[in-house]
Amino acid sequence: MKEISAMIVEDEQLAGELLRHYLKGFPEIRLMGEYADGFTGIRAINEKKPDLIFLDIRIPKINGLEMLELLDYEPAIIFTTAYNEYAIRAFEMNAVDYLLKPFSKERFKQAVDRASFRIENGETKSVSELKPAVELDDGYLKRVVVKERNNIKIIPTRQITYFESQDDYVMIYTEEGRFLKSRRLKYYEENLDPLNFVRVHRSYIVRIDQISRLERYEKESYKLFLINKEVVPVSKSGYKKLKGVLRF
Amino acid sequence: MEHPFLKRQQFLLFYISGWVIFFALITGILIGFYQMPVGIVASDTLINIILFAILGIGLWYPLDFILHSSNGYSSNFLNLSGLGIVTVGLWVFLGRILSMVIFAKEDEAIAYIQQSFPLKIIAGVVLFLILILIYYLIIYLTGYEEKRLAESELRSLAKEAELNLLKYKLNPHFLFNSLNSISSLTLSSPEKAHEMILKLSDYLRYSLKAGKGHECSLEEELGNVRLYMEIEKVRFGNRLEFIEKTDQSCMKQKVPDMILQPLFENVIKHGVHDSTESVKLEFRCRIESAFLEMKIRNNFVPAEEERVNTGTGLDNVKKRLYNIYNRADLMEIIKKDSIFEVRIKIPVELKND
Repeated sequence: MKEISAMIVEDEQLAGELLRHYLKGFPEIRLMGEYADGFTGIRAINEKKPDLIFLDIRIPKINGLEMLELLDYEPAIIFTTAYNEYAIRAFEMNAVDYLLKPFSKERFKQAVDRASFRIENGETKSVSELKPAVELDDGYLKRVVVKERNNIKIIPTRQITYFESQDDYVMIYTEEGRFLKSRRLKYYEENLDPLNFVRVHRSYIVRIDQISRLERYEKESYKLFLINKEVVPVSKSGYKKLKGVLRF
Repeated sequence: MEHPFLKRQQFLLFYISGWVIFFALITGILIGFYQMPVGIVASDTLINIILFAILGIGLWYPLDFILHSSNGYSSNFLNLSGLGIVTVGLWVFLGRILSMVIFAKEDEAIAYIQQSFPLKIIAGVVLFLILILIYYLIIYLTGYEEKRLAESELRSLAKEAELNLLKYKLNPHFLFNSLNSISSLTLSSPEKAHEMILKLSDYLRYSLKAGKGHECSLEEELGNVRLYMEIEKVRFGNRLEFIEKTDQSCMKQKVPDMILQPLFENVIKHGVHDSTESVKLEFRCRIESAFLEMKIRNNFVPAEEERVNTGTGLDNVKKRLYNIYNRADLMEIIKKDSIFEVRIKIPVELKND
């Protein structure tokens, strides 16, 4: 049997111990490390590239779902958490399995077998196909996690000036510079709080409180001047939306 | 209240039909009684009935007013009698003028009008009483219906609140994570697992009986908080440190039960859970000018601020304090540098002994 390399990301020591205890029954699995928060976890995972990851969702720094957005490759993921409301989302993200704490040895074996099967058959999906992961607390995105060379940066959405679509990527403009993220603009349109952000153009989403003034450019086309002096084009439908949110 | 006959076309139709039937009956009787030409009796009756029907619609408004500014039965009776005299008087007076104008040149008709005058007064009083009775009946029945609806709505709201409270008290995330820790401990150190099951049981027992608006001593409430913190310490190990400084004089004071636990839970949820640093949680309590002053403070990493939002747990405590003591200034949240502090004040019960 082929050896499977694995990592654990779990912030509670006893929960980690239990996982390690269960793993003793699987000699083919080689544990490469255990991490207690999202930052150190994602760094180690991208560096050592284990085949299988046991991932808790509610962990410090960046959560388990956000970590998935930062993966450089396609490992098999088994979520371990007490929060069953995220199960559907985890499966949308093509997790191999979702273990609800506390779970039995049998249930654990089932999940590991499923993962082994996928790893041997190379069936893990590419990261770009993963479905959206929203910030845990409530409906709207509160922050965006980006990679900046070898660092990970958390950008609260209130620091974002605007989003610009660039094919399959989105450029995020903030006061501290711009960051590229492999997502479609539509994702942000759907998951940002519509009270704070508005899509003014096929390629632009603007933070409403960054708007300085709106000028007519040509017939039926407008330009938006932002507080930081940048200019963003406004489409016909974008104009209508602006009219709705700014009430003019 | 809305006019019962005017609020729907259907009801107005009922009202009119009632009068039409009454008109047919009374005309028949009067013709037999007075031996007068059918035309005269019918026209005079029709005029008077239309008049009363219109007055009857208008009657609702003073009646509604009288009942709403009700000052007891005797005053109601006086007001209604006055209303009756005015209504019947107006009706007889207007009816007579109208009939006189219409039948001005017919002696036979005028004789009839004069002859039937006393009967009209009696009829007016009877009609007035009947109409008032009908209105009363309507008010009683709709009021009853509204009350019933309001009551059933209240019942379902209460049930929902109870369910939410139960869920809140059981706190499934805390429960399942604790059970997972126990599951792990049973393998590594059964003694500790045993201990933790006992603590968890005590904690659950207290939580389940609490929260129904009862009071308990600070000692009891703090006892439960200590249990909660001990359980969380098993989960989080060195990441959580709990320091408690309570003046002995505070211990016997009464506090609403489960008022402190949500504040500690908030620290665990937003402070400990999201931080890799060790979190030091300090609780202080003292009595200061007729108030039990409590402070719960913890350190947090400012970079994590995005997550340190004031949760629903804190809002609930604030609402409960407001509901119990009717004051909005009993809870204060202070966020400064890397310190998060919640202060609550509870009025000290003054004892006479």
